Amino acid sequence: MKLASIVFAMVLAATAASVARTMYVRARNTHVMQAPDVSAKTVAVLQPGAEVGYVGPAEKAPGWHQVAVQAARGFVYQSNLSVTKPSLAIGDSSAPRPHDGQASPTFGAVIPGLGPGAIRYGTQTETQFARAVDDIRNAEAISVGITDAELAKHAIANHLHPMVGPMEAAQ
Amino acid sequence: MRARTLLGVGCAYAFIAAPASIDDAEQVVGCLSSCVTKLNKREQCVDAAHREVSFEEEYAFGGTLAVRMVGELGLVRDAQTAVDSPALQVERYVNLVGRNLGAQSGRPNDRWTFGVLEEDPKDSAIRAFSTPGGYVFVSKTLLKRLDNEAQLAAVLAHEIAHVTEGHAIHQYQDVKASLCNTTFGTSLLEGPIADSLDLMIKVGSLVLDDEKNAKTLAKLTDDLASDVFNAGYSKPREFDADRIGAQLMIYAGYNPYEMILFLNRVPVDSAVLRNHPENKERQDALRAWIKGYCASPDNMMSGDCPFTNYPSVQIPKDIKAAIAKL
Repeated sequence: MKLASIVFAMVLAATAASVARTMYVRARNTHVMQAPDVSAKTVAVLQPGAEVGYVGPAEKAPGWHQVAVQAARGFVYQSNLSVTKPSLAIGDSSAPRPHDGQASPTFGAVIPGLGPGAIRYGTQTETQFARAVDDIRNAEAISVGITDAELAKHAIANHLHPMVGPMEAAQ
Repeated sequence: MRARTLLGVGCAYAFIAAPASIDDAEQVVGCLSSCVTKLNKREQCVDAAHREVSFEEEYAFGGTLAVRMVGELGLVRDAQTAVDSPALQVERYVNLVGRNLGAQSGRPNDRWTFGVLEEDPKDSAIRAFSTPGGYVFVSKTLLKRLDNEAQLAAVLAHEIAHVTEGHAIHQYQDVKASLCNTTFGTSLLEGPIADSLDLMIKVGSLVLDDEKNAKTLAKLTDDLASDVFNAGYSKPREFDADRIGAQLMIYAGYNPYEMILFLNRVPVDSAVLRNHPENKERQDALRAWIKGYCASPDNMMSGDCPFTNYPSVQIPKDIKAAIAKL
């Protein structure tokens, strides 16, 4: 393990200890793996805001950390963990929103696309932005058409940080 | 406050000027009552305008702003629909890179939509903008200037940060407050906008998807679009978006120094937004932030500093070819 990773692991361990060893998941569809490797079996899939118990850094696998999820233990890549609970809403209200932590793991499942107000605005005779309405709806369809497996495959192929999207489907 | 004082002085003057008859006295009382009504309504309206924007209101407004801003140029389209047509290929690629970032952003469960702007051939520029509701758009010229995928990620992450930090929403609240002032200011206006604002005072938010509020939605959208088109966000908000965008690049695994390098690809004289900080200022701030980030024991990534092993990721050849055809 390189020196920088050892220093990071020590810092992380100290930080985790100081916050009662609770950490939070910050990325969507974060996979907890049986071993610190993208090809390992998935133990659990967690959503942003989920609490995990921090166990410690993985030996000989820089960037991976062991966590406890209820009775199970597994490994999560560091970029998907946070020492503080992620703030997921704009503004200072604590009112729940559809995109708050532990919301649906399905992309945009509870988020509407272009609404009736926007469509009315675009298609009214004064503005003549009907083409923009069509273009945006088309872009929405392209975005929704991209699967989590494709996102995971892209990340793995390009050596980006893993763990967003179902690994099984990506392999 | 200044407006309130002036209004107060006007009312006091009318009250102090001694009425010559009962009719005059009734007029003075009427004026005073009207002044107080205006004053109260305006204050209540401004107060309601600055309350937290509801989820529904944010999405209704964000989508409309996206229509308004895309409406000027449109998005790229293919002459014929085919799986390997250039516009479709490029839009899919931009959405792939963008959605991976969105999933790791401060609003990971939101619907994120990315589009490539068509351009006026006489006015090709490096453009990128975003609106509430998770809409992010980049221009063809910008795509043609990219050295690698990390630089695309840098642009998208900066725009995503504007959304997650609610920069347009804060500006929207200001525009709403300004509309309160003009509607319930020197004269008490009547009509659909006043009715919408009246309802906002009562329920705390605007139901912008309701047909009754169509004029209000259009007015707010046009006012804010004009601000954003001409000036962009304030400098502190631009620096914020750079910093949070660089952090998002790190989370996703891209080399954050590519954000600094891409700024070299943006001509200094092409700054279409007068509030955007100078490139050098942004680059210096980013270097300082990355240095501080690496030194901080509070972040999750200090073990990887200085990110020399973080990839820049080459743009696939077929996508490069498709971008060239746009």
